[in-house]
Order: sequence, then structure tokens, then C-alpha cells
Amino acid sequence: MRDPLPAEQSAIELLEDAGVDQLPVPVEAIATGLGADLTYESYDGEVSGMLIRGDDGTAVIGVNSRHAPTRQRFSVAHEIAHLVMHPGTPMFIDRFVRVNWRDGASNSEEIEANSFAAELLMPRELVEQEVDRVLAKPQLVTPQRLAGQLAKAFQVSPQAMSYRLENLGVLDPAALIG
Amino acid sequence: MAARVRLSRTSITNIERGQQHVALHQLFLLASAVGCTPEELLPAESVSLEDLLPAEVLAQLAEDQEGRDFAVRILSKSADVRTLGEGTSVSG
Repeated sequence: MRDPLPAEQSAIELLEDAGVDQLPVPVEAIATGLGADLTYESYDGEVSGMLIRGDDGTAVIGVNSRHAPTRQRFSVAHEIAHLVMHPGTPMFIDRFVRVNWRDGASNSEEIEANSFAAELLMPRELVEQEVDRVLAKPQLVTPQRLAGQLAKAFQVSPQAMSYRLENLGVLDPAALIG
Repeated sequence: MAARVRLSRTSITNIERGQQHVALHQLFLLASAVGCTPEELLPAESVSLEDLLPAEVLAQLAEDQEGRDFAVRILSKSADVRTLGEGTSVSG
């Protein structure tokens, strides 16, 4: 098992501070707990989320509520990452047009924010617990079904969960093709 | 509708799309025509990004119309908007 990346470690610490031990991870409460003003707006466009910092430490996280609920949760988690990890940047506007978790990010801050968001929404420890729980049942579980069941429990998209399971070494990438 | 407010159909379409400005008397005519108050036709309190955001952020938004629109809408709604800068005004 590989060590957590710095971005993942930040998310793990935030989860500990927030005392998260239940699913799905309450990303909205975590955002407001950090002092961010979480604001939803239905917007007909590609923008998924944004973070705007004030001079005095305040921050507004904007989420496009027209997008799917799982994408909104990802947007909140991604903006939390920027809030916690990138204090020097006053504004982020995020689109995730290519919501491919493999290569969707274009620069190091976006890559970090995606790693952080994955750990926050799908904490390694909780994912492994859920995998064990599902596999302990006397049933035939295909990789797709495993990813689908976990996606429901964590309230993320099945694609995001598939990639997470692959990334954590739970699933062989080849098993998920097709 | 067009006859009641003494505007062309094209003008009404343009107003709906935000491509044409409305004179004050037309606002009252439009409200009367659709049976509501002029206030109800006006957008909720909007914010001026220039008052709220630092120059480097405005420069970033200048090249991103969609991001700018979204930022205006989010900041208009945000309860913390006044803490980001000096007050609000009425232009987007």
C-alpha cells in the first residue's frame, strides 16, 4: 500500500478534525465548518464550482446546482481543497469539463485538489471497510457492481469510485474495462 | 404584448435576452402588461465585481465571461458578500 500523497494527508487530517466516521462524508458541513460561505446557484454553463477569498480570511464557495448531485459534492470537496491547500490564490473557477479522474487536471494545484477531493469524499480507510463489508456477503460481486454499491454509499459517481478503487489498488484496472 | 407596451416584438425579445435596455416608463408598461409590480421585474440585488474583487482577479475574469457571470450570481446570493469588499452596488 503506497503512502498518502501530501494532498491526501491534508484531507485525512481534515476528516479527523471534523470527526467524520459515517457515510456519506458531509462535505457541505465540512465546508461551512471551515468558515466558508457555501452558496448554490443553478447556472446553465460548464462552471461547476468556484472559490473566492476575501481579504480578511473569509471565503465564498459557489456551486452550480444544475449539475448532478454527485458532481456538486465533488465540486464542494475540490473547492475545500483549494481553500485549505492554496491560500495564496484569491480565486478559482473550476469546470471539470473532462471529468476523467486520470488526466482531467491541467496544473499542479488542480491535480492536488483532485487528490484531496478523492480522499475527502472516498477516504481510503472507509473505502477499505466498505469493500470488506461487501465482499463478506455470500454473493457474487463483479468489479462494476462493487464500484456501483460503494458509489451509492459514498454518494459519488460510479466512475469516480471505479477510479478510486483502481487507484487504491483494490481493483485491477484491467478488470474495469468494458 | 408588443402593442400594449408600444414596443416591437423584436425589442421585447431583445429585452428578454438582456440585449436591450429598458427605459423607466417601459418598465412600468411591461409590469402592467404582465400583471405584476415593476419591482418584481427587477433582478435581485446584484453586485459590482469591481467593488468586491482585487485587480488580478478581475483580470482573470475579463477573459472568462461565463466565470464572470457565475461569480456575479454567486456573490449576489452570498450572505458574506459585504465582508469581501466595500458594500454592494447595482451593476453586474
